[in-house]
Amino acid sequence: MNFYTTFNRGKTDHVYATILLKLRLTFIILITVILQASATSYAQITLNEKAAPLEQVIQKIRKQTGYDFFYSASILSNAKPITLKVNNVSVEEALKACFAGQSITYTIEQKTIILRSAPERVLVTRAIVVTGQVLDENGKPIPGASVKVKGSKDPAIATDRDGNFKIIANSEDDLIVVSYVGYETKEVKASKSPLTIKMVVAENKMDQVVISTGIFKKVDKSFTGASVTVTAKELQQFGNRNLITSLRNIDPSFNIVESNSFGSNPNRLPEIQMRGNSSLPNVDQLTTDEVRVGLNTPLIILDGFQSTLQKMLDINENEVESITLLKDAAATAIYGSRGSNGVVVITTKSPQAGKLRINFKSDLNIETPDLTNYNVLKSREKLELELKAGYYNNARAEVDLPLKRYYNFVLNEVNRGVETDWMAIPVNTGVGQRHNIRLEGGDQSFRYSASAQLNDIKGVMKESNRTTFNGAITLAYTYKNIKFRNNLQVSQGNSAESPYGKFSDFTRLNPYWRPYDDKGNVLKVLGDPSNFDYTSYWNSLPTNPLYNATLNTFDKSETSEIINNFSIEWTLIKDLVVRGQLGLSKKNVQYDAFRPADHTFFNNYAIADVFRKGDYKYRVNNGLGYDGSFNLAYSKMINVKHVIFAGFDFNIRQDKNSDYSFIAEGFPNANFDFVTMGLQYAKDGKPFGTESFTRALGFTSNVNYTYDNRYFVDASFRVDGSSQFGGNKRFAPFWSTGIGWNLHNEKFLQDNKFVNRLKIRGSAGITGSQNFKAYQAQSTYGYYTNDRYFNWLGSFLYGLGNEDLQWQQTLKYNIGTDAEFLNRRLKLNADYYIEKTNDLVSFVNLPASNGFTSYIENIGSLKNKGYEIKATGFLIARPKLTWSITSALIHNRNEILETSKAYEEAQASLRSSQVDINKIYVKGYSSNAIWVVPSLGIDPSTGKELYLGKDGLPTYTWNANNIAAVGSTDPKFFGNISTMLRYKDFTVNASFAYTYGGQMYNQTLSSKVEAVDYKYNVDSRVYDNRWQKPGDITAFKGLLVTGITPKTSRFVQDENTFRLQNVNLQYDFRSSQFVKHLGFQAFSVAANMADVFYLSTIRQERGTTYPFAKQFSLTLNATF
Amino acid sequence: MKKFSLIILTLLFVLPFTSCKKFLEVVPKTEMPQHVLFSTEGGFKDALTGAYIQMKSKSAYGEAMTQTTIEWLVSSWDVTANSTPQRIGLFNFADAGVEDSFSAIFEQEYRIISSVNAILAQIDAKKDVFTTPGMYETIKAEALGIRAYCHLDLLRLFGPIPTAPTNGNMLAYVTTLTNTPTTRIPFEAYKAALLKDLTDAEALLKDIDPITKYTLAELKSPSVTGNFNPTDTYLAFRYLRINYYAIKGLQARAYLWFGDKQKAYENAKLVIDAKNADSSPKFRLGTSADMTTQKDYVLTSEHLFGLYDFDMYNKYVVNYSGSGILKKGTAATTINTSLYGNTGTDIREANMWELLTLSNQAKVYVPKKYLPIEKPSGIGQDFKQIPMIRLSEMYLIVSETAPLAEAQTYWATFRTARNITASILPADPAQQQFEVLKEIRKEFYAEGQAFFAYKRINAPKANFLFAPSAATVNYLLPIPKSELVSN
Repeated sequence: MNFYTTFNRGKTDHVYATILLKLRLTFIILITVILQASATSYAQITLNEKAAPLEQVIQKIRKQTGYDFFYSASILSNAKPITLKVNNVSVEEALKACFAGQSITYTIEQKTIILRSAPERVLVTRAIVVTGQVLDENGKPIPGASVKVKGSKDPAIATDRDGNFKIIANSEDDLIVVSYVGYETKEVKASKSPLTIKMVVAENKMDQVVISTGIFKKVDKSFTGASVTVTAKELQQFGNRNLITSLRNIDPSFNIVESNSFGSNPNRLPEIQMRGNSSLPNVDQLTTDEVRVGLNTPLIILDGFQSTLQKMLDINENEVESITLLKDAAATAIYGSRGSNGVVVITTKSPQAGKLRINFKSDLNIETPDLTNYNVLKSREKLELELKAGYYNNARAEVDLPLKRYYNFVLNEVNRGVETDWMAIPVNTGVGQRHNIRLEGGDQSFRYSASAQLNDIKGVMKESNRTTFNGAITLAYTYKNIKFRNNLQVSQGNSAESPYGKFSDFTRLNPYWRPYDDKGNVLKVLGDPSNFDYTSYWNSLPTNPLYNATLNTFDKSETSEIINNFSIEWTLIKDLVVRGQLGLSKKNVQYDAFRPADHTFFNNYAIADVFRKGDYKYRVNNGLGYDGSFNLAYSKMINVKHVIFAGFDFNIRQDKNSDYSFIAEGFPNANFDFVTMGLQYAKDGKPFGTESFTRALGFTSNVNYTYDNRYFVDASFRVDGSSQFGGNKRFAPFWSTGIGWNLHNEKFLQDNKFVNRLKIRGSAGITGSQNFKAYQAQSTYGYYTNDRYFNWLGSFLYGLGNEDLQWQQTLKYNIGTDAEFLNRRLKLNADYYIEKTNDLVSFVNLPASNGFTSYIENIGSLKNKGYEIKATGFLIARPKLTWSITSALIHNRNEILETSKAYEEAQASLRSSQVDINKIYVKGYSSNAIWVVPSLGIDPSTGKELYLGKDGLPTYTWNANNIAAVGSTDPKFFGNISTMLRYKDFTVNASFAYTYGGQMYNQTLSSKVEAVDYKYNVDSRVYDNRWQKPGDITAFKGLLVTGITPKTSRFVQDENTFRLQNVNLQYDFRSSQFVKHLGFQAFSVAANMADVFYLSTIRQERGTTYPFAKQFSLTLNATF
Repeated sequence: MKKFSLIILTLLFVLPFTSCKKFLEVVPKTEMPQHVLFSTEGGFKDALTGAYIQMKSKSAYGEAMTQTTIEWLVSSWDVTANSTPQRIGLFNFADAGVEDSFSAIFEQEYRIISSVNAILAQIDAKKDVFTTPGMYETIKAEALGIRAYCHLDLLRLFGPIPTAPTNGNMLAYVTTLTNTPTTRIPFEAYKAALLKDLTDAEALLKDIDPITKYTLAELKSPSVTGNFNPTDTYLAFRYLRINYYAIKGLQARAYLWFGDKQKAYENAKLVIDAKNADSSPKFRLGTSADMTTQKDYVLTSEHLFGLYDFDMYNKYVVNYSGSGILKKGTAATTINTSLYGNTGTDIREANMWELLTLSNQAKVYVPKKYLPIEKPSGIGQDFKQIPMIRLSEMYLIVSETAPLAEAQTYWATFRTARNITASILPADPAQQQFEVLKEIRKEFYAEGQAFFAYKRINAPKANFLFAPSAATVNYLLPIPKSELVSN
């Protein structure tokens, strides 16, 4: 009967069931003799037989009743002769008498009697179709619940979106078993079909939750690691911008380090940190921001394969099933050399069985610039300031006169009412849209899903945008105990920077300048070019940044990426699962930036260089990588009390990247914007670029033992090998160990209404990070490409390799608790951790006689210490109304314990050469300390700033050697508060964030209030609190004291912020009959507002090169 | 089925382990790991060529050790007030700019040494990759020779005055490429190591160096049809690289520095007496015609070892004719009077200098030593060689170290070749040294040898041509800060 069962599997639809019935009927007809009798009503039977053959008796019954008999002739051959006497009895009674003691059984169905021999019972059992719906406590359907006939060998089927199922049982006596994660398994008799099965939340709901670590699946009740799992539903409720901000809004430990400069630029990758920064940039990276940012980015794992932050930003959110953040050693040690910065595990949706379902989601996203923190002077105030500053006075008459004329020109403009709002020019309201479509379906053995997303993000700077297209197809096939899954993702992205350039180029422009001439044409220079009066004021008139935007310029990139992930899972024997995975990814990014000759950048080119005007930058980046793994997982329960899990994983990766670029110049005509139209390559230019090739291997094992659901231990061990490290240190071990105790399972707490769950856990272990250059451990030679000796080419040693170079290692300690109280009305998670990073990779000095003055060595260490507390309280938890508040509080303290001498010297020399380093890393201080010269304020007698010298004495001279750590950008506490209110089908969700106790260097005070000169526009606070005469006690220098103000503690201010990150309103039309009539299975609408307000104790211009944006969006979500 | 699964499992476990180490060795595209480079003969050739390229860098013999820094030290050029060149001329070693100038030389010399040390660390173990006869010996000897050459100059520049070897810096004689800080060793140990490198190099080259068998002209034109037909032209053009005679010349220079007159004499004489197969001298003193007709101002026929610089013409324009950065006076007077003594006949005085007018109308008196033919029509006219060791130095060494009568002969030969009167060498050794010193100053102008000549005999300021009046002559340079590091 294999044919039958295989075909039957998963055919939940009643059409299939009907077909099956028909098939079975045909089957019976083929092998039976059909006996037809004329119908007589009311079967009353009278029989008197003596040792009559069964067949003869049957014929008599047929004649008397009109019932049909189905039977195989062969089964009657074994029948015993019948002796009986009955008078006017029912069919049932007659048959009962006939078949007593026979090896033949019968069933009556309507007017048909089916006979079969007892052993062949299965063959001719009439299957029944059982239908039903699985609901949760609140009466909401549960999709994906597992439904099975008890004792049947057929695999379980899953309920569909509406919790409905159809399953074939053998008889009405069969039991239907329904189970779902987090709920108690239920058994129901099949007889009452259609069934309505209400599930009850399992006594220990959290105990059943499975944590996906990307390598092994772990059960939460026995997991000793610190982790957070976020569901797709939460992601939707906490934001609409992208996965990264939504995740941040949910769990503040996933911290986006805000960039005041880049604001809400959609093309900018954010800086992410989990539990502080664990790396320091190397000497040569001190001045490159991007590298520094990359150093602390957590590892991102997408369906078991290493991925990138960019991918996380661009991914189709609708494809995401859940995200797990792994934080401590017990959770991250299985990633060994990559786990230091924490791990983000993204799991995409698996196709669900069922008939074809289409889900459609559409968003309209409106972004508006948030310029509330900008306060600049108006035309008349600005001109007055210039006059007060004495800019229009000169002792020499021949200079003074044109100056005065120039002043009058500007004054005329002001009187004419010129009041240009420059800030409004480059920004607009970006209207973007995002459309998603997802199809899925299939049966138990073969399932499919396909999805596509078009996301068009329009930034608030005009014409800055990012458009991504994502397509994915997932196929899953199950054959016996082997599961195949293949996931193909294709994405294409286009992004463009605004042709208007930097926002800061506009905010500084004077309001008395007109951007357009009388005819409405854009002016190329600002001010009055009709005579040379301006030369006393400006050497050459400032250019109008708006002008460039009118030209054909672009700065854009195009990304294409293909990822294919394939996996096979094979249940080798009971309890032992083998999984093989292979992921391939190919990525290509092309950058094109074009500026025609007319661009203001080329304004000052000499006559001789006229053919060099206009340039085109071309850059191509190619990446190709594979990631394969082989995984064994064994889990076993022995004598109920002992549960053992053991896992082994082997992982192999290779990544190849190349990046090259060149610049062509000489583009006289803006219309010829194709790179080949350039007249030549850049003067003295050559192609440049980088290349890297890395390989890595990892062997991971993990063992978990649980005793009686009370005590559990966890141990992981990983050996990692990478090409990036020294020949003598190619392999490094990483480990972790953890213990835990489920107090709530102890006798004294069992059945306690107050404490529902209390898990205590602790872990220690070592992980690494390896965000370093591909070849820095090797002694490698390069070839002189622009030099030779006679006619021979030569090679040279790049640097002294270090065969002993190894990973930087982070020793992590964590203790934490997961608890639920008051009938699960209060949930609490708390963690305390200490993380110490050793063996930071850094330069070490060598005597020059070694041939090289430095080499790379593992030296230096860094410590992060802190705690994370998260509590959720369900204030109202009724079926129709729920209200909950969640609050998280995080404290992290960072300290540099050791750096190399070479590192200190490199920083010292950078400092003395006046290179503007944003950060200085000094032993004993936080890596986010603010380093400035301590100020004693403005001397009331002179109006000059008084600094504090190293010797403790006041001094008027600013000296880089007096620099001291004044505060830190690390807040003392930060976190969020979110609240969720649900009434029937309406849900509101709001998420606030706060930081407290940090400091910040107020850049606006330094550049726009105490400005070096007032030729460009400044902050409106320019007149406030200025020193004017001896005796004035003020915060700022005199208006006319306009020397550069170097970094001073005067501008370091306490920063406390409070902001509304996100508000989400959602209405689900699930219970609306109207929507059902239209053919929708589900329909919901949502409105979302992101970054609604931002309150800060610091008044500073936010979003300097790119403004911050508020976002409003409207979402429709439909399934049919 | 079970067995089959077991086999697969075992394979999956074992396979990755077998070749892990190999798998993790990646080959960069723009860089070459050391062991890959040194797996072929070609790699060794490239690495050695790299060392020569480093030798001709501006921080070493391309400029600093021949024409700029080291010559500013002996005030060979006019300087502007309050500039680093002026402070160098005033021996103001504490000045940061001066410190940087010498630090750059120090670092570059040791950089060159590290490059040849990298070769020497591998060459014996990889002897079997050499297929061309003589290539192994040549490369090893050249590497040793370069190591000795650079160490000698480091010692002469930063080390003690050889007559008082304990009074001055100790330096590191570096023979390994390592990231363990090197130690600085006493003068005697340094000397022994240096002489040993020269002896080793000599022994390797003695029998196989083509320069001993073929003329300079033949070495210049290797050909399948000609006399000189090496299997690899990397073995031709020996005068551009450390060769057997360069080693001998270097030995003469080194022994003279260490005060071993006899050995200095023997080695210098060997070079002077070196003959071709047709018994013509291997190297010949230059003539007036070399300069006027051939435009071979740098006198390549005298080069035991000349450093080839393909960019020499452009550098000449940048430093001399185009800018006058390296000029002595705005007229011929200073040079003719103070340096050459107004002989009127001296071929150097007559041919090697010229008065130029710059684009800003400024007049500059500059030497033409480094003016090669910009685009030579053939290799015979390619004079882009920075002189590293010359025959004239050998003549001046024997003039100082040979028995007086013999010294007088060489002195006369040399003076005559320069077309000046063959004066009589004083009998008093000190006076004799000063007499030779004057000739060294003339001969090696802009070649970086004058400072060493003064330092070797601890010449007083009176004998120090062009020393500024404000200067206090100081032959003991401090060790650069980049050498004195602590971690």
